[in-house]
Amino acid sequence: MTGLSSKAEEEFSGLLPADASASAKLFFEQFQRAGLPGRRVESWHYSDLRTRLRVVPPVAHAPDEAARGVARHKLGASERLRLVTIDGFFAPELSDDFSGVAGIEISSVGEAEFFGGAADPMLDLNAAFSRGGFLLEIGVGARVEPVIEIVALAGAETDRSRFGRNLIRLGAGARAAILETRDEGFAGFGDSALFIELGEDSQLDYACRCRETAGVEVQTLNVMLAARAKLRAVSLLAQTPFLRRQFFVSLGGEGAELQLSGAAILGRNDHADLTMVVHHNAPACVSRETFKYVLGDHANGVFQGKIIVPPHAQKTDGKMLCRGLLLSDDAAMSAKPELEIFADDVACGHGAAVTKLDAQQLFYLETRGVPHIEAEKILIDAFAADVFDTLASEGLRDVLRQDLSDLLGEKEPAS
Amino acid sequence: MAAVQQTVDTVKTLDVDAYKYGFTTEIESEKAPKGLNEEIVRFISARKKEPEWLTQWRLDAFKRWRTMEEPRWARVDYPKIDYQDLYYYSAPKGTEGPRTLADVDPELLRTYEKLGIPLSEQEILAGVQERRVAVDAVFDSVSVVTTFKEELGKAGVIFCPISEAVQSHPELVRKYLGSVVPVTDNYFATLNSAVFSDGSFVYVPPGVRCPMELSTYFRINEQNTGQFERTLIIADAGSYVSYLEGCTAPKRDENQLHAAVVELVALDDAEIKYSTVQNWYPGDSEGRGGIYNFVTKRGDCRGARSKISWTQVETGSAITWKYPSCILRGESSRGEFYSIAISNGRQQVDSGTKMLHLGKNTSSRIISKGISAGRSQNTYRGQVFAHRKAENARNFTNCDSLLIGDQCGAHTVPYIEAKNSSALFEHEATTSKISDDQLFYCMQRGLEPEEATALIVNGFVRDVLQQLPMEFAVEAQKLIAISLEGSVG
Repeated sequence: MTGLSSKAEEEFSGLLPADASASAKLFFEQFQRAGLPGRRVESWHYSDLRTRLRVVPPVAHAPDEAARGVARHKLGASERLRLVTIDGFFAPELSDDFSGVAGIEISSVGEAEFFGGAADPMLDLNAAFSRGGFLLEIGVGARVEPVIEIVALAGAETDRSRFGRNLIRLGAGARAAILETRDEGFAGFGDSALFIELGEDSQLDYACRCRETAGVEVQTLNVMLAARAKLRAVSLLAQTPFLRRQFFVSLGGEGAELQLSGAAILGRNDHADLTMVVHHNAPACVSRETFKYVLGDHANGVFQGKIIVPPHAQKTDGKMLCRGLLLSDDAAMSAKPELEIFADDVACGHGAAVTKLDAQQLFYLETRGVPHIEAEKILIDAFAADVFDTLASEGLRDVLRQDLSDLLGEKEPAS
Repeated sequence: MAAVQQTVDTVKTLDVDAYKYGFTTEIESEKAPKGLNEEIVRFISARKKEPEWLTQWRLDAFKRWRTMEEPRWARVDYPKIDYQDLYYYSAPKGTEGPRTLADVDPELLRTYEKLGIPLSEQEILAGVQERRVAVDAVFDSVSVVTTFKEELGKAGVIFCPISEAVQSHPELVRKYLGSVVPVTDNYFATLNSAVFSDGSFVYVPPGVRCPMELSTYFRINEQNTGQFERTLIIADAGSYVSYLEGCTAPKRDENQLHAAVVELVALDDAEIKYSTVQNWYPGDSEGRGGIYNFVTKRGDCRGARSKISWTQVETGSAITWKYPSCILRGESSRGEFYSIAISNGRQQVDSGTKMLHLGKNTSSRIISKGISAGRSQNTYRGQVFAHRKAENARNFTNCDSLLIGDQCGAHTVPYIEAKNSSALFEHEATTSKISDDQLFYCMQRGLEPEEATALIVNGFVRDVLQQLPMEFAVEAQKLIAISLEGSVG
């Protein structure tokens, strides 16, 4: 509905292979009808993809030996169990052998496996182009102790369009901790989708760090929680030229619980948009959304949150919080925390605050002999790090804490 | 349980059908032909004997309007409006010539008496202690009478219908009209610019504190008419004015359109307090009839240290689409927005405010209380924006929603945009229902459920009621109780 089609839309049309499946063509038609979202579309108002994506890079092919070589070099050694994708394609050759770990099944995913995601043009586009994703399954009742790491890497050519589409499924009562590391390089276009399906009484700790996302990137997470399932998800974003990370969560069973948090540490001309739609589709579900932004230089932070409570979702408990810290006069923050409530016996609330570092706190630290730059770092660290506390997995918390302190260590003095 | 059943039954008979201002006034009126075209725009302009520049201004707006599309982003749902099926001008006969009370049709005076609006100056003057309020009464498309003009004139305050101001103070009107809400602003504002009928004009000269409250009372009477009033208030340097508007309409089965534009200009150190008690006919409990209230209200804090404060009590209208805003341009200027929006039956409200911080050290405060009952939908939509140069901009927003019954909806859509690091924005919102504990406590002390609900709701909206001029606060409190009738049970 965006009127005239943009050049990028036409280019996508040219890139869709002639032998694409019928369902892929259907998804593409759906995308075409909505068009590439831009500022005239309410839910994309702050992230104008139409102006940011002028030229569409060629679509990445399944990784060849050269691509695997580059990826292998980047990977290095790790103690964690790793599952690797290159340009969105599952790369079993580079992944660890999971056959020895009880309760974990890894396979290629077929289109039929995915549950219906949200109505979003970029998700449709992803469905039209994606191939070669993985399905990570944690069996019924399985408790996986070690952290599983998903590593998304770029191949030999960085200036490509990537469309990863993967599925994580936890059976009833299963427990796991998953870390996703996205490192696809600073170029190209990315439109990825991750589906997470949580069975009854299952619990997942999920942390994602996006340090080097592609030039223009959209990441969509579709999450479905059955009764009493718990998801604790944290995203840490840094150095993102243009990233929109969107969450579509359906709390589908009674008593499901969601902790969705994130921190964005941005500088330069970075643009990060965290958008979430949390649908309380069953009674007595709990959701907490907590997001923190640290914005320096010309960075632009966007928060859009929406809690939807239909009439039958009585006893809903939803709280949303968004806080922005502006460190430079050229940084900007836009927040739109929405509530959409049709049930009367609920307790829902949201809060949003945007400000700069507190001068008194800085002064306090400086009077105790902490240099100005150090004092700033301490305060920023304290401001951002508490979003990690929602994670139950200590392993994941430590990874994110370390990442944050590394990030702040590199930081130029803010003022 | 019998007593409960009884309450439920009583309540059912009351419902929103209890709208007490739903009568019509039998009075001859003069109307422009139905429909909207250039001829109608010229007709309205000619009826008001407007100068050429204003006719042209209207025509330009009309030309522009034809190229525009009706906005659809608000969370309201209504059938397509046929703009050709409306009367754009309707005036009670015999309203021309000098407007003193003696000239006004007694039928009209009775109407206002029924509405409880004091038009007779004598009566009010007789009561020694009574606070005096100057009233401009607008009936359909024209202003029928304005009281206390002479007394206000002594203080230098100009308070008259805008059509009169065009004749008597063209330089002021020409300077300020459309300077806050430009002709091209939005669909309904542009439509209003083309066909606006009447409304109030207020000018308070430098340093003058307006000696009494000013008020306008809007009444839509005629069938199939739209009301397009336009209000312009200018507070010159160091002045103060408090202005109140009220509105009602008869019960009718079809929907009527009300697309008003209100412009406020506050110069250096000036203060404008603008209060609204909006009680247009809300339609019946099945959603038949009612007013479409599509209003553009905006205040411009043009001068340093100026202040504009909006207070609104919204209980009427089938559909409300209204965002009284403040442009905080002057250094250290301040904007305030206090709102109570109550929806019942099948009413739909999408209302809120915009605080645009452009100048240094500007501050704003938003307190919004939404109460939805019955099958209504109540949305708060507000924007707080700090420009790069708006150093030390401050905003505090609090919007609370209360749900009564499980068929209604309450929504919050705030937009917070900060482009300056020294800005401090705080926003908080909650949605809840009346707590059973509170109800139980009140009922334990012998209150009926309805009374208890009204009491709790009045406590919920107290912050806003306190901002209203005293006599209107009392009225508003009663109004809240009436609009919530039928919501418990």
